[in-house]
Amino acid sequence: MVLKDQLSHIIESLSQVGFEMVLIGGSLLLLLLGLIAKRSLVSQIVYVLVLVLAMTLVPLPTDLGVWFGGALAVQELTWLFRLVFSFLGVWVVFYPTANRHPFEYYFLLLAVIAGSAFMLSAQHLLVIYLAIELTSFASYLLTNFNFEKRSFEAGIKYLIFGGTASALALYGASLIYGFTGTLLVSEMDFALVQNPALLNVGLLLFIGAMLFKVSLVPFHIWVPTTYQVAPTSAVAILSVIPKIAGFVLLHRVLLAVDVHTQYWLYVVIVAVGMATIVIGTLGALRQTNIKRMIAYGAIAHSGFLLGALLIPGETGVVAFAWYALAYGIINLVAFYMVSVLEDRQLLDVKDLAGLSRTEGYFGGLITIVMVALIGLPPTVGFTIKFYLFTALWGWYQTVVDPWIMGYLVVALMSVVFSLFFYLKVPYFIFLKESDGDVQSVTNPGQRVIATIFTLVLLWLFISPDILNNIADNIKSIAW
Amino acid sequence: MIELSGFAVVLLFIIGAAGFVVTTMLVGKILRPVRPNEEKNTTYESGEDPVKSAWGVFNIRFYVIALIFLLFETELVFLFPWATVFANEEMNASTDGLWGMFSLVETFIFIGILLLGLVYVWAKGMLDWVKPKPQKSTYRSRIPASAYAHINQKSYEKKQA
Repeated sequence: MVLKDQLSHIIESLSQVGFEMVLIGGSLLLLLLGLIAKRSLVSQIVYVLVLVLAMTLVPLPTDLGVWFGGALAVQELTWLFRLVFSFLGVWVVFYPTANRHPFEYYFLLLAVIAGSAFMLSAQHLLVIYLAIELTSFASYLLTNFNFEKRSFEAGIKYLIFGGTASALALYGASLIYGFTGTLLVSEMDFALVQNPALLNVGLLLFIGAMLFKVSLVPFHIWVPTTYQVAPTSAVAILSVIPKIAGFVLLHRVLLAVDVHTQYWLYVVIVAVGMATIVIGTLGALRQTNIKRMIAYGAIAHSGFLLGALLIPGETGVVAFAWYALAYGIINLVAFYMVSVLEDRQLLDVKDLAGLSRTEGYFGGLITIVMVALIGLPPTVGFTIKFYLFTALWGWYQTVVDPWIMGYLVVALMSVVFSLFFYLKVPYFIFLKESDGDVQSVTNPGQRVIATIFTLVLLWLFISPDILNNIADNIKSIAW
Repeated sequence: MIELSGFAVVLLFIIGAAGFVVTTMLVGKILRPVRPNEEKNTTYESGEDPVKSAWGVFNIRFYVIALIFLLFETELVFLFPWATVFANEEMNASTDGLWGMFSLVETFIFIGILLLGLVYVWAKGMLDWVKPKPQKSTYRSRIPASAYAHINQKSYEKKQA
């Protein structure tokens, strides 16, 4: 291509990343505003405005394609999750967490969302790396935003793990480039390589960075501590948006590698997924801190999401999109409840004993959210898990692979075990008597927001029209 | 003339760099007079006496300044290659000037973001070094200052004698 065409191609491509450009521009504006304005309300309003403006600039699913010379592939999933990210991002302003530096806080949140949005469409090794790093660096800083000694410790741990993972990933990327001769994931042909041992090492190292972002075993170690000490509204974002983006990215890489023909990688991924579910579930059993418990639960959920990546075709993509979307909403609700409790220093389940005497209604809402996290009716948690398991079972019947059967069994067992730890919260609220006085926790505004949040979970179960619409839009995608 | 691949150029560059350093040090070794003394043999620590472990805690501001310095050094590293191609007449002619405009806007966005960083740290007071604020004592002694001066004078005379 001659230079002139290249330049006009780039300028033309800019229209496709309006979403990301608004997020980045808006975040810089927010930082500048922080030097002038002092009130945290201003930062929240600007943050919401930036997200809403970005949402209007998402290109329609009729207008998809490959841009920037192949570096970005805008697909139906990109469209869907760009909308979901901005939508979920808006809700964190309602969290009652106090912020010491609101402008910097929302600046970093926007950076996380922008980085994740790039992860949704990146298919150039260096763009992938940059997108992951943009998300990671903002996450490291957000971990520290409670400004306590423990959060610095967690932040440093997170930084060291992340730094190691990304250094290894960069080395892996260089190996991949050396063997395939291209940086574009879509152009790589792994079948051409004669002696792929070193290439496979590079591939594993590179995939490691994505496993780190989506908190899969053995890269999950940072999750519990980080989730426990980071501000709850940041955790709500961190546990959803980079994770979904990481899975979309991981799937793109696995598709390029053609994971179904590379059996060793297939087995590795399945084993990682099973180990993630087991460790997440067993880890959560022992926890008494609610945030830490949900963090372990989030690790287990990563294992479920990984299962959806292994199922090719329409059922796989629909199972993934539904699970990701509903998991995002459930997590956002769960962390909203947690942040309300955290505001009154009630983070250990034992502190919740006898709370039903003053907060029966709020306790009921928490119960619904916990039921949704387990995956039981009448919540959307059931819908997504049911669909995922059906899809896994269907795929098992097609390939008759014992690994898939094992995955299904482990996932089902995990649901049973998760009854024990998620229901611990309602158990303490309703059935335990407290020793001392029980104060009321919520104010009316918080109860209204919690009700709206919870109703979404029930409503998506009763009338899953939205989910079906999404399925119609994305089922043609190459998965 | 041998055709060199890009990697060979890099290799030659590394060999050249290493050779340059080794040669300079060798020449220095041969030419310089060797007259060591105790002061010369101690570790150079920016003019300070190296008296304790080097693992001491430094003022955090050193790191902030170092980070900001790195930021702008990176900017410079990127600006050099940009400056060599930005006004390339051939490229500009083939694209009707779009090339120059494009790279100009691109670089100004880049500088703008870095400038924002500088404005931010400046406005937040990260660049102000801590100045010692001497606190004046509010204590008023009953013994007049002249008494101390007298004692000093006495001990001085004693030393002189």
